[in-house]
Amino acid sequence: MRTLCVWYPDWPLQVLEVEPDRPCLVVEPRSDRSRGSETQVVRAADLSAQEAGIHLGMGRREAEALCPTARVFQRDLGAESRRFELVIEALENLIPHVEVVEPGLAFLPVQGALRYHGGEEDLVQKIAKELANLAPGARVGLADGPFAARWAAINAVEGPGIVVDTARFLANLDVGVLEHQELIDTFRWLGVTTLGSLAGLPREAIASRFGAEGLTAHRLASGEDRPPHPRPISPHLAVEAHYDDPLETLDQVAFAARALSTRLMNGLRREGIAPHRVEVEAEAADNTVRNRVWRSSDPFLESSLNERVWWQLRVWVEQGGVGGGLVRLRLDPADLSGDGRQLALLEAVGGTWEGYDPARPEAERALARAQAILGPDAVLQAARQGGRLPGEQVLWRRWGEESGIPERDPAGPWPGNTPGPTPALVPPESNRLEVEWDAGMPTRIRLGSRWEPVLNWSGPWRLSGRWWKGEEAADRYQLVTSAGAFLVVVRTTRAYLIGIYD
Amino acid sequence: MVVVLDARGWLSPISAWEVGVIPDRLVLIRCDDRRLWPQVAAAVLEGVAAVYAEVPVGVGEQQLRRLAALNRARRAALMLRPLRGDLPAGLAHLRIRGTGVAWEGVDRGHGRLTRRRVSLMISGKSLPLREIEIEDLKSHVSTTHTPLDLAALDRSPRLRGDS
Repeated sequence: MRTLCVWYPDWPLQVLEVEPDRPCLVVEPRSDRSRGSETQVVRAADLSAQEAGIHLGMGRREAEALCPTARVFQRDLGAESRRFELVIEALENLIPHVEVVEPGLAFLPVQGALRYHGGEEDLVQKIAKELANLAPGARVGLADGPFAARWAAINAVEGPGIVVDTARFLANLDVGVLEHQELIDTFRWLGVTTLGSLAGLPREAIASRFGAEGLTAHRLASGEDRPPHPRPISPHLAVEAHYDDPLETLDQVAFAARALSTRLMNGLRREGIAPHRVEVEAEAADNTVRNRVWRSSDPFLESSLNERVWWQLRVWVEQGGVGGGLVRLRLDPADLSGDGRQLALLEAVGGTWEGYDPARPEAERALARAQAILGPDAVLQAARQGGRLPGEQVLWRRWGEESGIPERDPAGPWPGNTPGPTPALVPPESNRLEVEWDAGMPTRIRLGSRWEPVLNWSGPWRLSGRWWKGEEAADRYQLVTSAGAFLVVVRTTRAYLIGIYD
Repeated sequence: MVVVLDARGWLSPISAWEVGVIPDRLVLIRCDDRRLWPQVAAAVLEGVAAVYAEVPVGVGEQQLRRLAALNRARRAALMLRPLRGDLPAGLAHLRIRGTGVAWEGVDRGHGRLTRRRVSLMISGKSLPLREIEIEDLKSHVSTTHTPLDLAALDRSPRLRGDS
């Protein structure tokens, strides 16, 4: 999907109202998971600070040592979102659907707007011109999917960058763009230096060696940004609150926002999912309705969602966008994440939802290790698909892979389908079974070395074969013995065991 | 998440879904190699809270005891089902042994399997030996015919068993 990215590399500096007489730095706290502590790192630095050798992500102390005269500011996300709102409004005038990631970074799905604006080149130029008037310093990139668009924007130093062949563009990027230092180091050590060479490796091998993180990297490198078949979120998961007394003060709004985002995340957690996108919709007492989509490359956690809802509402309230106070607030999740599902599944292990979840990588590592020991084909997940016999009704996939599209529709009628309960044991291929018959009725079956009398049975149920594939018709029986019940198919007088009711 | 170690490659995920396991939360690992099995089981227990494992023939007692010790440290729910023979004594908190099964619903060619009655012998570290009978109706409803003192199970620190 063609996606446009608007990125301001130095957005935190744009909101500072200071004289440019001394170098400026903006720092933000970053938690160091390996040490369990929090450090301050440089989020933005102006040109003179960069000339002194300061780069983004550098620790605050190191930066101050390099440039002792620099003025250091704490990042103010509230002020940044307020200022960014102007940019978003300008973008929304051109393309109605803007997804904000954080102040200074937004994605716009442009597919629908291209024809109206007369093609990609015209649209990008129009946006670049608009932004140059409003807030100079934007980098604009257009490519397939947010990941590629982001890197198109990062590379668009000399004016907007339009990527036509996304796969080739990604192939030339260095593996350093993957944002996972451990993976990057290992890839480099293995001689995999570009995304192209990573994408060229077999996905199974990557899954087996690097687990889910490696898979994500491989997918990004192959140009598969979002899951190819996002599962829909049912509409009842959206949450809404009505306020009889309109909320006017920031405190009231903050409280309402927090309560509602907690409610949303609790609901989602019960379903075991987390969204990549959330639409915030607010209605004012004067009947104006405003909405905005927030997006995150990692699925939203309660804290990160809460923060975004609050930034958004604060901007609207402070700009007087909710005249007469807030009477209704609605949060609508979208883009369900498999990651989110995993996260919720693993809560039982003792992890926490809030913030970093230590259990998630633990279970992923555990399964990745099992995959490394046994090979990728031995660790499996399954989905249901249509079919008449139990073995046909399972669509297997390797753990960590996207689930494929069922070849046979599970919702179809499937006449001749074996009624439930399903046998607990289904041999991978049908095994011959010796059955003794008396006038068309089964009397005993051979289990290992002994013969077991058939106490009761149902069938024959006819399974007409797919004649166009040269299949013969067969009969299905359920046989009950004192040792258990068996599902048996008889084809041209030969009986095959296809399931054991354990 | 529930992880199943399938030593025969025969376990059908559908029957797990029918009793309420959510498909996305079920991972099946196929391993019939008795030398690799202890490594895989230990790796899985390191990160997963609920594990059902078929024990392939030939896995040694020492390896099972090491696994049980690891499981005590991880406080996970581990259910072991040896494919042949018994688990070593004193390993499991709860031991479940099937003593009989009767299927109903079919009648000389008519009907279909609908109801199962299983007789189980249960014994455990905090539970005297007793026999219970479980009835499944269309695989969803299970009722015990003999009341079981579940409170006694709750009192035991972890629930583990073998059948």
